Amino acid sequence: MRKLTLIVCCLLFAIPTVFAQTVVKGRITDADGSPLSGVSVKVAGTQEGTMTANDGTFSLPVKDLNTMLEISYIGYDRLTLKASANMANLSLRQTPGGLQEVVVTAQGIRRDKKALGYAVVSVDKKALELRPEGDVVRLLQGKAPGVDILASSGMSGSGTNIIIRGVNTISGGSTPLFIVDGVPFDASTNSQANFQFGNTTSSRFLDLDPSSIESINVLKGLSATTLYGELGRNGVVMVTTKNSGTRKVNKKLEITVTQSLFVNKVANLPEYQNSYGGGFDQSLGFAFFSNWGAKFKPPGGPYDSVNHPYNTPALNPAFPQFAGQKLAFKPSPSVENFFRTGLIRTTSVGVATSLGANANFNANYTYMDDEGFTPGNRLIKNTFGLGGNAKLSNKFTFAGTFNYAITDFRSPPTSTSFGSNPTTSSIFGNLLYTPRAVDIFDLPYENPLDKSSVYYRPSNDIQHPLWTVNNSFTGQKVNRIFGNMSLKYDITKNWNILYRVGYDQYSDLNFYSQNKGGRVGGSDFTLGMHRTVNGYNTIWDHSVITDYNAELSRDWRLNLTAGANSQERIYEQNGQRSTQQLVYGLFDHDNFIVHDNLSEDGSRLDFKSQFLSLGVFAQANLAFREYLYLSIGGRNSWVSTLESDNRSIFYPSVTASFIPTSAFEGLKSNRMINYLKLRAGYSTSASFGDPYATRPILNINTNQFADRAGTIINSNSIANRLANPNLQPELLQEWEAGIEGKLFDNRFSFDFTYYDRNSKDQILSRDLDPSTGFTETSINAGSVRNKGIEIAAGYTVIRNRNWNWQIDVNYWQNRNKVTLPSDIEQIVIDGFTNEGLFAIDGQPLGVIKAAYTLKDTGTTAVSAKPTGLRIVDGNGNYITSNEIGVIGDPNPDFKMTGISTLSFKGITFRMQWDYTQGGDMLSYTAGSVVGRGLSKDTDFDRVQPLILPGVKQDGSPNDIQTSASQVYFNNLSGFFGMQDLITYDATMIRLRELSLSYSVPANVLSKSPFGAISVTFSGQNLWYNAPNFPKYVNFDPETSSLGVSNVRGLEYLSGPTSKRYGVSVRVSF
Amino acid sequence: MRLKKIYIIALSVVMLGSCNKKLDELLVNPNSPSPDKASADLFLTQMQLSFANFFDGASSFGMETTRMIVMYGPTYNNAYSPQSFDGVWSTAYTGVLKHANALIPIAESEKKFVNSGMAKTLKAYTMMTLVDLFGDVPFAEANLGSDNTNPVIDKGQDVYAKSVALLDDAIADFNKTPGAYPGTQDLFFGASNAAGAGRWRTAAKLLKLRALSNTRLVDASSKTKIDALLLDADVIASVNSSANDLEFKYSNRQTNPNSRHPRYNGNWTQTGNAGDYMGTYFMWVLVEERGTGVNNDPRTRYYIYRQKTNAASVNVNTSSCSVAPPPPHYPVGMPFCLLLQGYWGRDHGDNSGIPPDGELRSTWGIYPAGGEFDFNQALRVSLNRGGNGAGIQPLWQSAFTEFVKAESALKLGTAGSPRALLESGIRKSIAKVTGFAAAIGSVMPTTDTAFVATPFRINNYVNKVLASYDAAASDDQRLNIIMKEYYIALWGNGIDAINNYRRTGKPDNMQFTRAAAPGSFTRSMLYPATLVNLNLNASQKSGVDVQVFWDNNPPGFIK
Repeated sequence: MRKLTLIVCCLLFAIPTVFAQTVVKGRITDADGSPLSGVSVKVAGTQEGTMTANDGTFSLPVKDLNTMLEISYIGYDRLTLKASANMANLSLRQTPGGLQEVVVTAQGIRRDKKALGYAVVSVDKKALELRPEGDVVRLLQGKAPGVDILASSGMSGSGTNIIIRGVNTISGGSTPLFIVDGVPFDASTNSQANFQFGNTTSSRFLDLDPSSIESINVLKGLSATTLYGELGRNGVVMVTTKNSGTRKVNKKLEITVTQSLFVNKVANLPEYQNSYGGGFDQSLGFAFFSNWGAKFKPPGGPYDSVNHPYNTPALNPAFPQFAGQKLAFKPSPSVENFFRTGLIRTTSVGVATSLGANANFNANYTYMDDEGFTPGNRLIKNTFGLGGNAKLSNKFTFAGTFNYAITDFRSPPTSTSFGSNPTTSSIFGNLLYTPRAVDIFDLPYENPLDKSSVYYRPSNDIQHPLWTVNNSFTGQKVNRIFGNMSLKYDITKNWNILYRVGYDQYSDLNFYSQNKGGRVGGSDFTLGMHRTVNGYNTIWDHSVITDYNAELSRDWRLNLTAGANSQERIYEQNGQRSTQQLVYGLFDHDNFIVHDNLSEDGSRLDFKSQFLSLGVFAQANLAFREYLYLSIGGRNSWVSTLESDNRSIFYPSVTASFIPTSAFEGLKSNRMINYLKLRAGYSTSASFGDPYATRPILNINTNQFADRAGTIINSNSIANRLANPNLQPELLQEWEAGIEGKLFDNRFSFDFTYYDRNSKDQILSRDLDPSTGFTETSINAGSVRNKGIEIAAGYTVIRNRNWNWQIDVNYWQNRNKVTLPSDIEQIVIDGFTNEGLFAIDGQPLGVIKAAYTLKDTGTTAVSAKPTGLRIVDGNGNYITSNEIGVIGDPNPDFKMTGISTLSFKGITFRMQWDYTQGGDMLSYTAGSVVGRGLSKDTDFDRVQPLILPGVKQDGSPNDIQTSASQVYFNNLSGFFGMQDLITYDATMIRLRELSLSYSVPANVLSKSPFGAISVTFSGQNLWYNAPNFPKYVNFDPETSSLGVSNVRGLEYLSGPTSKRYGVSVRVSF
Repeated sequence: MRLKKIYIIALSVVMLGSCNKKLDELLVNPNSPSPDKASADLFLTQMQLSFANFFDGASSFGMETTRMIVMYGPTYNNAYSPQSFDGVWSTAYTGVLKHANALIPIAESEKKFVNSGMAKTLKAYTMMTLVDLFGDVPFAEANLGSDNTNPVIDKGQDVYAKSVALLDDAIADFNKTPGAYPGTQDLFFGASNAAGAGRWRTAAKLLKLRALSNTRLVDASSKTKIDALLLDADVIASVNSSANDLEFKYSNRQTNPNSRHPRYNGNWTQTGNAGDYMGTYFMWVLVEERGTGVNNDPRTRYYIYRQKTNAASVNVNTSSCSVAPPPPHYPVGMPFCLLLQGYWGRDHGDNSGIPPDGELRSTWGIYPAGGEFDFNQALRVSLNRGGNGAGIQPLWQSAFTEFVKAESALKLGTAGSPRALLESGIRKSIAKVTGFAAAIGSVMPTTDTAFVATPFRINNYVNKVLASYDAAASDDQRLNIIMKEYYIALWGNGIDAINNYRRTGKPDNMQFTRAAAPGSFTRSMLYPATLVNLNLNASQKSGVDVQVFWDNNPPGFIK
């Protein structure tokens, strides 16, 4: 420890200061006013020169002021000019098609891109703004190879999965670290009940306003994130907001107003058949869930009729108008009519100003109202941002940002459904397979006497979807403040020290309220429920960083960065769940009879969790001329989740980059190779697991039982999780190598990366056989290895004065393999133990295991050869396995994105196509819509007997005739444990984005008060096709019933996805 | 510079020292107490509540396979997936056994001998039941936590032997003078004095009798052992009153916390839909087999509550079997589909789609789940009716003792007249059932002799049974009559029902499954998925035809 402190101190103080003589001083920026570091400033015709520092400044001793200086920087036009004493405002113009040179790397360190030994993806504001989506992460879909993003559902405000370079951990979290303006930002998804209860929860990066973002850098590999230590193990998403205030504006004051209007529609519904109605075996059964009943009479009638479902003795008092009434037995487009067209309105105002040469100020405000296509679903965001920086004296620079976000999200609950009644209230659970003869809008949803749900079944055992819309509400209201302040002191020109504090605090009021009178979920729900949870999240982050630049010789330059960081995360929540509503319609805990501190899934609503990470880090960057770069870095972290022997860990990292086109001038030719770079890096990281896994606890169960005398019985129990005091951190190691270049007059660019990451000593939440006395424990075992390639390539097809056509392609493939010790058969990652996603030795992470149909293995009397055909029983139905087996792998083979940007003068037409090859999905939407005879896939002559393809138990071909309803309902629906039959390959192609924008030319505006005017028409998720699902189900596999999770591939009627399009107008003054 | 350096180092060391302390503090979970706060009384409650859940879960499988309530099937092999058993398995080991093991040393050191005796008794019952259900199960290496995460599976007979020894230990504990009685913490007897401890002692002895009866086919010395036990004063006295009946008692509290019988919770619902299907066969035995109307079983209206008292709601949509002929493999006279007067159940192994009949199904009456007595009120189920769920889990009753003695007297020649014991068993069962409403503090809604079990009807019923016993031509037929009556009395206790069926093959006229070839009867359940998937020393058995150690009957002996 002492040794390390010494090293740090050496880094901090032991560097000898370089003294300058009589000098030319200056500062070099880009056209936007951002400082450029590493710019070469040379005396023309000599090798004498220097490089600019991080703040763009340089100083160079010269003979006299007549000396000509040559300023050069890759990607920018070369500048030759006469020296002057003060060259404070030199700006370089970007060479068309040149390179974006400076990137913000870990801990906010700006570095030349050519010097980086790892891949980094920068997404500019142009790819984020004016979109019909308020979730920044969803806007990144397809734009960065290696970054996998999946919306949990199409509901406005629903959570979003983001995973970088594959999942590294079996039991831990995979969400990357979010850094906003240099400080950590909480990106968690605070679900209050497990996924079965369908309490849609937003991911907290929803609180970011896309229109306030300047750029996003995604640091994918460990080499890029090592200075963040264990916090950066899943990659880092670095968001720079406009408020960080580094942008210089040309005018005194610039005001930008943006107004957008988009429509939000359901993207995919099954195409339903209209030939048959409810019932079974072609006999009319209006009250049936399934749609295997009688054929409808031809349109125009006369139709068959049925007793009106509300014409029953029980309902006659409530609905006298239906007494003795009949209902026509005819198809109605209930599901199609259920969804609405939502409107998305966004208003954004931004102000930017430069107060003299040394201060910038920025402010913006955005209002977004995103109405979902599902009735009852809405997201309203108000985001305020302020920021600026000021050079206080010659030596101090102050910068700060302050953001305030108010997010109000609500939606009806979407609990899981296996194609029959959902677990609890669910807006999609029974809706998507509404029998064709049931007209949702024609059947009143509530009993006028007691407001309880009524519906078409005489047993009244399913909940009317419109009752759910009008009586069941979930949501979150978040108030969040985040930002940072920093003070930088320039010790010398080349040496500075920075202190920065970041804070991120929010309160999250999460609620689930349902009136009494529902029909599903048991009396906890049907008698009314009101659950409110207040979560308080705090992150405090303190950093001290010092940065030193030195020119060691004419050829060698050194940059040293060292720092210390402490990060504390505290999450505390308290909540209450009340059941049994007294007076209908009022949601107040007082209006409920029973109060409890457990969530509907039995988890505790009151708890707190605290995490502290301390680290010291240093990085040395060595550059040889302009073509060889070496970076050596390391961090030591101390983390609070493990016992003291195991809590300290050191993360080294080495990266190198080599630019042959600079090293060998002959290699470079404008017609062939403009630029080539080779890079490689090795780095490590760790994961410390969740807090409190090392110490045993007792559970307290108060008010557990009341005996017949009314005495309340309390108890203590031994927790079912076995504590493990010897838990060690998970260790991650990653190699990455890449090549990037620009060819053919900079028309063609490519960036290829190969990575190989191995995460060993996994902290596994291992399920135990309960006969051990415990059901789970945390252990260190097994590994997950991710290997993959990322390719980004671009080609400028047309490049002339008026036209520009750029095509970009991103490609990513990842192969993932789990290694487990022999004493662990498998680990359930998510889903259920009998139908879920598992980690199994030698298999990709998260394979789907469930019951399946038995197949002929060639051991029968008739055939000794395994035919692989499914086996039927004596009744002609497939036989289900006793045990679960692997029935699919949800990991895709590869993902690919194509982006075309065509511009003509001020008009830009942009298209983004995403393609995913492979990956399996177990889908109950497909299973139940087909299995219950609803989609057009079942629009055939159902009277004909069917024979399931397969063999009988003796091995002979199956010749047992069964009915259509038997084949589809009992076999192909997945309801009876034949999950392999409803697991599909989820290959899909999608038109992710389409936009057409027009900017009014500057010369037209020059005499107007407007600085810029633009109009953009854009749409998202406009078309997709998943060819391997049943044709008419129109299923969109870009969804996950598991919410935000490491894994995917299970779908329990999670609902359709959304399609959005509309127009934005932007005006700046 | 030098001074500055030293200063920085010193500061860093101090800072890191305080940081380490802070890091240590954050290791302690602020949300839960540490295990050194454990208490023998609080563990006792946890164990008993877990035990009630375990009994309920295990009993379900027994009731379903023995046609008391429906088994969907369609075959025995696929009626239950291995995952179906994860719940009872986990409840047994992490609920009952873990807390029993934890509290025994605490209770012994605190001289709470009734607590430790109860832990041993319920532990023994749980272990024996696991053997009855699954055959060989982990015992010696079970519940060791991190010391053994892959417990080996022990032979069923060894587990049984150790369980009987545990019962002896428990009897010894109950004979000691405790430092304190558990009182209200005891949800079975509320033992607050020596009499309460004596009830537990009697229960432990009766459970020994039960174990001897269960294993009589494979234990040559069972006659001697049973005869010896029958001379025990506690055992002799036990049949004179129902005060010694071993039962977990639920209360009528609906919320905060819900303390009602799980069958009541699942069927007497606010939505007015019953969840369970009663077995067609069991209801047929009650309402038709011995005669209809006043000649049926006097317990019928206490056992089964009907939501409809006629067949007006029967149609193809609500009951698809009502328009179908009986399966060709059903012999003439085997009950099928619907019964008289609205007794609405489901056939054995019927896995067809579930019709919208939640408001039509017959459901749990006053005994044992605390439902409602059926006096033709024909009301739909609702949330707060009848006994309000203040039911029991009937582990052991004086009637069961009599039936066990009758079976043993007939088959082993132990003391007592099988015929007299049969009669005593029936009368004790009927007395228990008819007196149940009063016992749980509920008022019978009617005294109408058309519905309640009058002495006339009871005698009529008993006489008919005894007449058929007297007319029986063989011991096999006599055994069938004893076991049929035992079966009826067991309503709510599927564990002994399936044990008796596998041991004796009686009742011999159980309804066949709807499928002609259901495969072997469940001679033991498949192993739970959690055991097979998570324990390296376990693998799934070859099928449900694997017999438990005390079942030496031939394969295919029962359907």
